[in-house]
Amino acid sequence: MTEPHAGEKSARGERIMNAIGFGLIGVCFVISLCQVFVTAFRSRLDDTPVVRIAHWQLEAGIRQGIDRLAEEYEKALAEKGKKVKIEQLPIPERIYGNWLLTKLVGGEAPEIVEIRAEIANVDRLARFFTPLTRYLDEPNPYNAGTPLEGKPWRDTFLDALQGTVTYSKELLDYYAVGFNMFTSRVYYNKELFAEIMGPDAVLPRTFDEFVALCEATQAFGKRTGRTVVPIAGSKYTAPILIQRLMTNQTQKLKIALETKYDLRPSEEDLALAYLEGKWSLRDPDIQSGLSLLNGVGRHMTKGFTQLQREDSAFAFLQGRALMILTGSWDVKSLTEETTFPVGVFPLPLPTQHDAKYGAFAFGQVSEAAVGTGTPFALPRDGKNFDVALDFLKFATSYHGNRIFAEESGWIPAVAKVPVPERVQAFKPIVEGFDSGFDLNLGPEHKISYTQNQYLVFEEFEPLRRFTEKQEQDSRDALLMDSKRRLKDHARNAQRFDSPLGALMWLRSQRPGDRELERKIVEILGRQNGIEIVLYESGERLDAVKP
Amino acid sequence: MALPISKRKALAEWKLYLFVVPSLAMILTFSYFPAFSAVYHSFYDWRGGDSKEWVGAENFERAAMDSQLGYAFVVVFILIIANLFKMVPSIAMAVVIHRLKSEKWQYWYRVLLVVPMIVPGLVTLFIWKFFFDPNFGPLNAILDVTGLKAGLIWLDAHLLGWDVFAEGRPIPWLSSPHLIVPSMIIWGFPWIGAVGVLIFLAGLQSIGTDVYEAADLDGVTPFQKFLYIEFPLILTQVRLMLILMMIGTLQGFGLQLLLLGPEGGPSGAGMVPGLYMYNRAFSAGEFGYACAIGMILFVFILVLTFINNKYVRVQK
Repeated sequence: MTEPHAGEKSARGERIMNAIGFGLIGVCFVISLCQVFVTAFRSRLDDTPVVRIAHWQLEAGIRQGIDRLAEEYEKALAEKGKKVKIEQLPIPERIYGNWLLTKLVGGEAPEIVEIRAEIANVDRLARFFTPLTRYLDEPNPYNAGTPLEGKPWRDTFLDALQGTVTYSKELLDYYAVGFNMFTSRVYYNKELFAEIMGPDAVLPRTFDEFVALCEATQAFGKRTGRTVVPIAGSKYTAPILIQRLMTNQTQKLKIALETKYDLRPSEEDLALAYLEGKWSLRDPDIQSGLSLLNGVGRHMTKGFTQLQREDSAFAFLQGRALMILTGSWDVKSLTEETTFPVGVFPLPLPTQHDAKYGAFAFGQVSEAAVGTGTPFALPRDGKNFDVALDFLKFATSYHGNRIFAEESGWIPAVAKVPVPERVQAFKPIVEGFDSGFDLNLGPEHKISYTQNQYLVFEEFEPLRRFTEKQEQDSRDALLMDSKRRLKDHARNAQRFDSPLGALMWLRSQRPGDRELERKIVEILGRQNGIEIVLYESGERLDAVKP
Repeated sequence: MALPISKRKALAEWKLYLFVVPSLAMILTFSYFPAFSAVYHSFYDWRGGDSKEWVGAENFERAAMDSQLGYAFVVVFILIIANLFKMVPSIAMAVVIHRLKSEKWQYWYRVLLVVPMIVPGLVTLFIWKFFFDPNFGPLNAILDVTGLKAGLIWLDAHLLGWDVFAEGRPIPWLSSPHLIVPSMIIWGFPWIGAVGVLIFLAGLQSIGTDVYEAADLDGVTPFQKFLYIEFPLILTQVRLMLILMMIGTLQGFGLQLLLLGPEGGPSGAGMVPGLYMYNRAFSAGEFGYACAIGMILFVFILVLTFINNKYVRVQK
């Protein structure tokens, strides 16, 4: 008779457990539903303008810097009786590009977004972002009472926003403003340096001394049995080194290829010059650059081409690497997370006196041309455009940029703003020569170059193997890039037709309107500029042998 | 089974069909619309946004001549064949669990298999990325300690000629083009997937004990039991897993994207069609061409599924 009773108990127990399970699901569902409705209705009832600012800068200090800016801005507006909310959207770098593109295409982009060259090419800039030129021509009202009062907003930036991302040469418009400047330096472990080189050793000032330091580090590792590499390498930090070394060896070649007398052959010019046979990968300058890369690459973490950014950072932070070459954006992360003191020094590059590499270099590359970083643009579809623009003006005013620099530890982008103590060593070194060029000459070429780069760091005949492989890919890649650029130019020139047509019709209705005339001349000028580039590049590409 | 009803009665009960409408609307919006949009855009030179230019079949013609896409299909077919062999450990595991005499232990082994499923797939990928680390990864350490690396060095010197295995040099699993495909095959060792094991186990548990008793009487060995009894009777499950595996392998690129990046690693050695599609869309900005690649991939999957349905028959 106990069996049925046990069975009944078990069935009842199961019913109770099921009821608890369903009850939990129900409660969670009700809570979620309430949260959704409360948030939805709160945002509908609350008419406070919200400005969302999206970026990928997850390094230490940046989010705090932007939060502080947001706080100060909201306070400043509250004093004037206005309410506004600034929300930060930090998105991991790896997915930021795709995330932003999806938002732009879907018409749901935040009001302020950080951009970079790969994300905001000419086509996307023209389609998705608002030109800021006319706003930059006027003084920034938040600079009143400061040394920058009365100056056009554009001229208050250290580089006058002449960077390739903030200003589009093709569209002849400004599209973004930067919050700071970046330079790159070699961070080193002071304790380990003293262990390897002795307590009184001085930092390397020449390229040969730098190589000697790397070799001494490797010898130290072998002697003591410790796993120590000279330079922590990864897929992320290697391109910085590659770019510095390659552009050092192509300084003279770049001048030789220059045709427009502006000392700035564009990627398009260089790509066309390659297709026209004016330079090749077998040129001694390029070969010397590759040799330099191979030489320095031997001192980086083995297999670094498969390592991620965090791998190289960990190697340095854990004392397994003496040095790491990265930017001022990592200063807070790398100096505050370590158990040892960290120093920085500029990467010494071969000068024209260098016995092996001097033939192709002028010398140390000047950082005078370093543009503002962390460029923020305003998507066309963003709501609350006026507030977003106003916030950007606040953030890049004398006071705003000082707040940001102090909080983030980054170099300010605005003139006369004091550089925080911890990044004094990162202040741009303006003495030196213009840089050369590297082999990132377009999206397709960059893909093939990235795929073949591992050959440069192999042990067996690296230069020959890389040159042969890259030569097979370069021509087709550069042709594709050049044809795509031509299509972009044509499309961008065409974009001006509608506003031109509208303005010309208006002129017929309002003859003598000087403002209209000015706009027509300006837009015609821009369109003509693009068309000149279009026809010139088109002629050059047509002349290229198939 | 539902009994057929007359058209008149069905039309009279039209209000009941309204219950299907919300689900149908969601499927049309989130499944069919993106697919039709992809078909539409595959005939355009589309860079995202509104600007697009009609190019007709040019994207498909280009895909037919694209050597990198061709290579990507070669890689993915290698992975399909490897994954075919990688189904064997799951089947073996299911058979072993099924043959356990204790039901309690059968239950606990099933639990032990399922528990790792709570770890997100991305975390597993990151762990494997660490395994492949040339300097600190356990894989290289195990090869060193067990002496297997010496065997690989010998193989490389006498047979392969890759120059990737050498004394005193860490094995660059993800930075040498020769080792990329082997790395993708090694990934997931010991290749015992919980879902696969559970599906096979469900099939095995439907086999009656009388079959085993008859086999015992006939003196059938354990391996013969597997070959002549268990395997034929779980062929339905094997076929299902085969289809899922082929579709998953053809479409998948998360592993390659995380381990190798959008370029597919050194020399693009790890490029698979899904990753190439991603690369074209997000690295090169050629969304229209990426849609065309998606269409080609769809046709491949359709053809493979058709072949599988037609030729992998289940003897009932």
